Amino acid sequence: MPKLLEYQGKRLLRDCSIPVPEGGVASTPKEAYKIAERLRTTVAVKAQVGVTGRFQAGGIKFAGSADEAKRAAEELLGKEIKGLKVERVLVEEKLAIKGELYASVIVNDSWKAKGPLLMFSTKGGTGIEEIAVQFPEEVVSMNVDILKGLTIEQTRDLLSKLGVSLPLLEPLSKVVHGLYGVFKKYSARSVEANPIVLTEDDKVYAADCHIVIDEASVFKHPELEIDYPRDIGRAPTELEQLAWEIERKDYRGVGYFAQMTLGFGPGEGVVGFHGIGGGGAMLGADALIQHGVKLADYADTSGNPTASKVYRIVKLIFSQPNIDGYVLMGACIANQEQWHHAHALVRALREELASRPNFPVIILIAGNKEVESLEILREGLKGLPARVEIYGRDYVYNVDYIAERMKKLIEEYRRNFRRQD
Amino acid sequence: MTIYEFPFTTGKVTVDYEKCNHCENYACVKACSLFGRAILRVEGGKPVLISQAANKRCIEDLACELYCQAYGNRGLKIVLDTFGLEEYRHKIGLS
Repeated sequence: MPKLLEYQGKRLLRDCSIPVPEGGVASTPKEAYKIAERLRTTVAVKAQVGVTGRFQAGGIKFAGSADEAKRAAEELLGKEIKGLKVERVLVEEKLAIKGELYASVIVNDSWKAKGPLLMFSTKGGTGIEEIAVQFPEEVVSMNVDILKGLTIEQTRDLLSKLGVSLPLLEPLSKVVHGLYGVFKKYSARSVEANPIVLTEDDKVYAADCHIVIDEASVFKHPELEIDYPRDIGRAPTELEQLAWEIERKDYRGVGYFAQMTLGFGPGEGVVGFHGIGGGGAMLGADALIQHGVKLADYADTSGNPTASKVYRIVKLIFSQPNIDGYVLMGACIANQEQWHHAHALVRALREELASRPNFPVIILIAGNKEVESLEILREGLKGLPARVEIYGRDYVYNVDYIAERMKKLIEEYRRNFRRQD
Repeated sequence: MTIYEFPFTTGKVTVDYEKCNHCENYACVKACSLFGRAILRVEGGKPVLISQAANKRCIEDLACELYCQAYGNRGLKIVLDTFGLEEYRHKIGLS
């Protein structure tokens, strides 16, 4: 799920009439200077990276003049914070804080709700999990009917439960109600304003925000300019960008691909990993890792993808140089018609394995049309020079065996590899 | 050489009709009927789309090609758009 940076999120808040501190985004110290000069007040210079705990990590600095803001930007731009490079800073007025509050709208995944959940607390600044543990009496929430929406009256009622004072109730309700507006307008998974700041002159601002957009709605919002809507905590590799291109061009089913190990050499025992079904895929990946198998990537094709999409994902996996094996961990009884996977695998593996003698390949596939799929795979992969093993539903609950087999095949393959050296 | 061609969402199907002249089982049509949306039929001894817009119903199951290659006369091929993957592989020395 794509996380928006603070300055991107604040643009959306401003569009929905939520007050945010005056400021602007800068990608050079000179730009930071100009913004600070325009603001003519003490400013906060904030590194724009998608991590929490920026202040403690030295990613937020205060400046009393434009020159100081420029120096702060010089220090921050190009610096790495929690592994992410700072490419932009947000320069905005420093607020005179009297109090900090919290509000968010998230998706309540509970089967009873399956809709937006609005949360509010009179304690802001730290994470809602800590607030809920330390001050449970200071947190209120309500499920919102997605069809009826949220009224300003409902918002006021919710805030009143925590005894929000009358002069503060109106502006605060507008902010919290506005957050729901952002959530709905941009099909977000979560919109959080933390802290909402009450200033010395009794004004209310969303001082920081965290917005996560639903991956499936990115297509509807080109104005957000999200070119890689996966949350992998780093810049995507070229292959990951290609994987997203495959996903973007064809909505049918899911084709996920992320690289886990980069820059490995031949014979290091790193395998291309392909899973089916989120939980089943993770179960398989965990089993392999526990048995000492190193994974080059984590791929997942679920939700009844087309065979063409599965084919492309397998080709992506094989586009990682120096992998010493390929494993399909379909560790679930899938309801998608598995013969589409079987056809895709036959096409891709016939192309890839012809020139890879003894290359280890393990395929575990189960579920709808399983018998036919296993037959398609056995027939289609016959005669290839690789070491291909195919398993069905009897092994879905025995992924440790699959992992052990993979480890053994890799060891044999590596021995051959060393001999050839 | 007579080539019959039709596009689908992320690629195209090409059929070399000269090879179809010697085909006895039309495995592509049967495969489409079993695994896909039955958008192919045999007309004049050759596979054709059942209607002009039937290609829009293609679910890209790749079966027509695989079964033509395995059991037919290898006249049908699918060209898939790789969205830059081929160029990437060429760049890093993987063909």
